[in-house]
Amino acid sequence: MKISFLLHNAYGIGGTIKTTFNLAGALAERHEVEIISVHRHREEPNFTLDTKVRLRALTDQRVEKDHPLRQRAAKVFPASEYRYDQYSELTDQRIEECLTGLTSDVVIGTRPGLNVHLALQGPRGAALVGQEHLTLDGHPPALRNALRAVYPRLDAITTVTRADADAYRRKMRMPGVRVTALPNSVPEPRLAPADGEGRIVIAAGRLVRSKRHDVLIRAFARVVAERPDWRLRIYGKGDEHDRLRALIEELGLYNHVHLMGAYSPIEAEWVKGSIAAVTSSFEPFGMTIVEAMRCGLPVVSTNCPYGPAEIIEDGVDGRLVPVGDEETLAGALLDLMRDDALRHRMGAAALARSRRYGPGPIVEQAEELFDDLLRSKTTRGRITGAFRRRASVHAIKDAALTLAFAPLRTLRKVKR
Amino acid sequence: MNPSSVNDTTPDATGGDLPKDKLPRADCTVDATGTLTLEVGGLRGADRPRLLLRLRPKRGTEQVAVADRATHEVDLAPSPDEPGRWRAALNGGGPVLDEGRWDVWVAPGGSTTGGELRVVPGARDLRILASGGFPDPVLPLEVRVPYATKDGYFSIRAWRRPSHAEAGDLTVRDGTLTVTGRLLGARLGRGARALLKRRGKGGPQVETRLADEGQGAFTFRADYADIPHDVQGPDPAYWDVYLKPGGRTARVRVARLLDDVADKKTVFVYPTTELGQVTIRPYYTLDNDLAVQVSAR
Repeated sequence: MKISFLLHNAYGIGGTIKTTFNLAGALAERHEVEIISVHRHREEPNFTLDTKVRLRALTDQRVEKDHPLRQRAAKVFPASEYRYDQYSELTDQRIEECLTGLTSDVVIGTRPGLNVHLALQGPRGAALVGQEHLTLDGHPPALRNALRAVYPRLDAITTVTRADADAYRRKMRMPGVRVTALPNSVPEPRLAPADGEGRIVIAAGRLVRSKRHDVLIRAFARVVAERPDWRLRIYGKGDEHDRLRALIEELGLYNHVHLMGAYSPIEAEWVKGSIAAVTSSFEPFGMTIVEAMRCGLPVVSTNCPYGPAEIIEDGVDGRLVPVGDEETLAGALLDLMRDDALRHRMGAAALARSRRYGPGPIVEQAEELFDDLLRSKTTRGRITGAFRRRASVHAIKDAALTLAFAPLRTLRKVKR
Repeated sequence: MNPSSVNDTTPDATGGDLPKDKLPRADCTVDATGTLTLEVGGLRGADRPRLLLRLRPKRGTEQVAVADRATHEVDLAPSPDEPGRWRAALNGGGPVLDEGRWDVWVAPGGSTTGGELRVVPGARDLRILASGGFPDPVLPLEVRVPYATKDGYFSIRAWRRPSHAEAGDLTVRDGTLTVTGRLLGARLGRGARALLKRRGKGGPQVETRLADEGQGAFTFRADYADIPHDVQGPDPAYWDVYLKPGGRTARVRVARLLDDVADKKTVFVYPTTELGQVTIRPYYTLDNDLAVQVSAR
């Protein structure tokens, strides 16, 4: 089948981009797959994309920076979406043109605002799948309302955790829309797993507040007091860099804690470690947890909503500790440092139990979902006339609403 | 990109126009003997391909055409594990790499048209270097750390030193810098000292006592108050750090070379101290040598 992914920016860095590349690459073994990137700002993507996947961009910041339509606020992309500032009439137009021209069997949106485009403008013959990489409960109420209005027009919503799928089923009225969890996949690492003998703890992720690297650094001060032979490496870049650097100096940890910068591929870095640490206050999935486990590392993670508890079994292949609790975190790290056998056992369990996130099992789930959706589409095909009419009435209503709200949105944009 | 960074972009004609996914990609491993093995894929139609290592001109020096750069050639052999992939091991028996950054190219040979191609990095397995398991160094010390350049190509940093003082932990406290380390290729004798020399011809020097901790291990303290800052002199002033092992042994540069981090400067960062009219901080240079920067406040 022909499958199209609609992605915010395939050229950036982040979990959604990485997992979309992974899934697209794995699906490309058997299907015709393309990624449509709304934005582009550099020649090549940061992550490596399977050469079988076609990549194209709808707007290019390098040559269209001053496009007049960029100055005009987006009307289709919802104003309550996190990335609203990066959308405009230009993206409205380009996305609509692109979607209406698609001949794909399956079209997949990868963030709420793009799912809205998909619901309103997606080709009706295709199975329209909205992926949620964040969480429903994490969305501001205005965004939830915007999604509530149009998500019923999609064929399916996929979340990355079962917990979030439950939230969608409970809180959104979407008759006829399949809601199912489709976890992120992580390919099999090319390198042999970590041997657990080293003295390095590894954390990886953007340096932003929600990752709470400050808690990790403070916890590591306690760790070093007992085990000065261990080091902590934090991979990634972001706004918190200077603040974290200052904290490392304040705690006198500059020989023990290192900010490593961004690395790709990260797997070569995981295998240098013996323990992975995740201190986030919020992880819709927890891609780095699976990556580390696939490299044979036990992960000490906060038990934040929603991903970690669905990936890690506490005490078996890693540890779950409360959010923001540096003392318990330090204790869990020290337990694994003091006891080599425990560390090796948990590392082996992590390696074995993370195979369920391999591309094979995840692609099977995705294919099954797409097949189901397409089958029910064709059986419904004969009676879609009525649907279509009703849909177009909705579309007119939506367009009217959109226009009515447009001045308000423009005002908001100016105030920012 | 950081403007002060090394000239890492190489807009060379050969292979430089091809998108990266059309270029050969190399995985690499360093094993317990210190051998660096490269395995190159993506060379369809190649016949007896060769690996080319080309020394990149230093920053601030004149551009040298690619073909005129110092170059070592190494034959690639078919990989025993995976057909279609090619392998080369760089060790004591291979080419001697002078200190610098060596860009990795491939001459595919065979039916391939066009010339030499740059190589892009795949998985770099440097866990041996990261774990402190660096094999007992053989002198002269030869260190090779493969890395990805800022513009995403495969390159190798090389150091070659007759003797070497490997820096370990640094401590900055109460206006004093304490350096611990290990001396290789020379013996600490009576009267061993640490030496700070201001960069530039005829720059002043400051010496400080050095404690021999046995088996080459050493500790020294540099009191920041002893480092003169000449208001007429350069600002900032850079002081390079050496050991004088004693007797007639030549001075030895203090550096941090024996791990997996190709560029120390942004990863190993130490506190800045304010002292009178100056601020002082230890840092690693672009070549991973230890130095002290003194700037007027």
